[in-house]
Amino acid sequence: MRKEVPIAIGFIAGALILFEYFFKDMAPGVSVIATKAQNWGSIISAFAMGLAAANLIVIHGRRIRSKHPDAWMSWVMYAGILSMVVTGFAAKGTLLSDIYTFLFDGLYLPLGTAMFSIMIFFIASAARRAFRARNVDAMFLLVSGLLVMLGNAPLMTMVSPFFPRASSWFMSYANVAGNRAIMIGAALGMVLTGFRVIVGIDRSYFGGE
Amino acid sequence: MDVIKWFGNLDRRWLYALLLFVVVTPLISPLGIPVDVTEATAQFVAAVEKLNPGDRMLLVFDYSIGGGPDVDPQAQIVLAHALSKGVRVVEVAFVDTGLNYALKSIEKWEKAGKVYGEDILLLGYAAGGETAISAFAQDIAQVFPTDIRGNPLTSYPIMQGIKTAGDFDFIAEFATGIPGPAEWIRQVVTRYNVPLGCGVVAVMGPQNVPYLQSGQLVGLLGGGLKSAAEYEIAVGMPGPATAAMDAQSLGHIVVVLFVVAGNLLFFVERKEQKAKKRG
Amino acid sequence: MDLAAAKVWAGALCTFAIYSFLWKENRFFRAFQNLYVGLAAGYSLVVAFNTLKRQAWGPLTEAGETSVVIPMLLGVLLFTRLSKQYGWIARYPMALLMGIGSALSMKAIESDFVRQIQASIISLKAPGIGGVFNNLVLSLGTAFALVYFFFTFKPNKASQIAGRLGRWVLMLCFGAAFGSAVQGRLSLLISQMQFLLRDWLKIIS
Repeated sequence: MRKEVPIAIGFIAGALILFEYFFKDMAPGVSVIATKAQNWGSIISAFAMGLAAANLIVIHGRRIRSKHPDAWMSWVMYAGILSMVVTGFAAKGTLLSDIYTFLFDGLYLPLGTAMFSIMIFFIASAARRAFRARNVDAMFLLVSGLLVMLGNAPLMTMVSPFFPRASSWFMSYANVAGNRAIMIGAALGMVLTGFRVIVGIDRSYFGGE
Repeated sequence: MDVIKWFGNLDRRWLYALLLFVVVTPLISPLGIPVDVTEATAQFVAAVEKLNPGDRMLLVFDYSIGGGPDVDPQAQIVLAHALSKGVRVVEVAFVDTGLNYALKSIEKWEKAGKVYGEDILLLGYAAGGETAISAFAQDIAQVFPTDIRGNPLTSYPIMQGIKTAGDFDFIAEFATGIPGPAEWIRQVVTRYNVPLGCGVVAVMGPQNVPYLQSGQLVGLLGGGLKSAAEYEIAVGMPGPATAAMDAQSLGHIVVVLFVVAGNLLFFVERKEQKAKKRG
Repeated sequence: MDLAAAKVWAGALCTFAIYSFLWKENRFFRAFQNLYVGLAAGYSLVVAFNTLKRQAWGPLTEAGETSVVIPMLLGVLLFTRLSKQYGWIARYPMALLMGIGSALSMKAIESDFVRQIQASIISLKAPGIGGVFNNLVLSLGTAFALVYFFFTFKPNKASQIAGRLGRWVLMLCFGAAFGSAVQGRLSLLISQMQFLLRDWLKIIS
């Protein structure tokens, strides 16, 4: 029950999708079943979003109960969840719905953007120390990085057409060659990992015993 | 030499201040640096130009808040371009926050006179990433029995005759991560061979260029905000992305200068170390 | 103060709270960081609920689509993961998700393997020396970079040279990725500054 049944479910679901992929023209009925199974997957994933939030609530509940010095931050987080949930279901045009819009546009959106935008400061400051031509490999990295950055600056186009051309060349040729090799390798990896999951060799999704 | 060493030991906060200064200044007093349209953007514009009035485009909002400012201007200008040509647009999201951007775009274009259900429609959001995309591609009505307003899809003229993703004339997908172009190519392009154009955050741009070269994508806006600016210029609708390009230029040059100075410092330090060893 | 103005002022406050981290780590930053996590979790709960209502509950109650009871039940079983004793039950829905997801990702064999190899087999009869060189970079560059990833046989002289060239190709590619990362993050900063200058301070239009 704990091992065999999940492995069987995974195998049947995976085999169904693969069978449909290879033989959809020979057995069109399978497509209907496969699409339904995928729709089921989408519905379960929506529940998984709820699980993620529930997990967060449980973890922070533990922090509050243990009287951790940072427990006040968990209360702030709870306030965020609660306010979004309470106002999120309000009918449009009501005060609660306006508060929901305020929470999204006035807090969530600028917080998210600001959080990710501060990274450029760290990149710029780290560029001074970390991005150095220590050896031939690093030199290739540096040259390509610098030319792409200069090519991305419209001002450099006015200085010389060389910069956008060089940037475009790196993107279209050297970059494609390298990324394509990674893509080909990753595709093989995905096929093998997928196969291992479907036949039950890889059971990492079981979680700890 | 001393200047380089001084720069190397300078408190990082001065560097932050300098970067902030060069970004803010051109926003206040624009320099008007011209922006050239790259080939990849021109290909995307051409693919949308090829569409006829009445054709249907699927616009996919697969982006999160963190990358939104980089990708949203792309989605907005492609949407404006398509609608200006009389192309009808169906919107959908497979990233939860993408739904909010889609809702705002619907609100904006309804105010501008476009008719919901005829010119433009929002299906909603479906969870599950690649799984949901695959299910959606094969049977739209199963994943979206109703649109975001709770009405059956068959009640809208824009959805007449559309059952699978292959029934659209063009798909434009905008992504900040997973799901992104790779998932759409795997589940939709490979199966239905529908023209797909993608816009991604600049970080994801390089890794998706191989799809453009192989013909699996008909257009790629791989440079984030800069691609959006190029698109705005190519279709003659300069907007917020174009306004940001001066700051983009100067910001890049400052980062390049940091890298160059860092390398000069490295060579100076190495030279000194070698001299010490010899001495 | 109307709602629009309140949103702008709140947005400015959030921006300063997050940017205060650039000076040093502080409680103000951490409070807003936690608020962000809470809002994100709350938002995803609202969206998930509405999605389920439309995608599962609607078809069940309005169209009599009884089969959606199965994924709904499996979805509820996911929550057993929170219990130590019954956590194993969550493996059932997880297995379904993993089985479908793994099989779908295996389609990469066509889009990311076959098609990419096909696209690398290109004619060297390109216009001009530059064209020939570019196509050589594309084809041989991919081949060399792949050789760099070969670990299953003992390398000989030729494969060592090819592997080294492949590593250089990968370095060029990572450099391009770094340049693009700078571009992307810079855009976010610019957008945030545009918000402050345009919507909050009203200095720019």
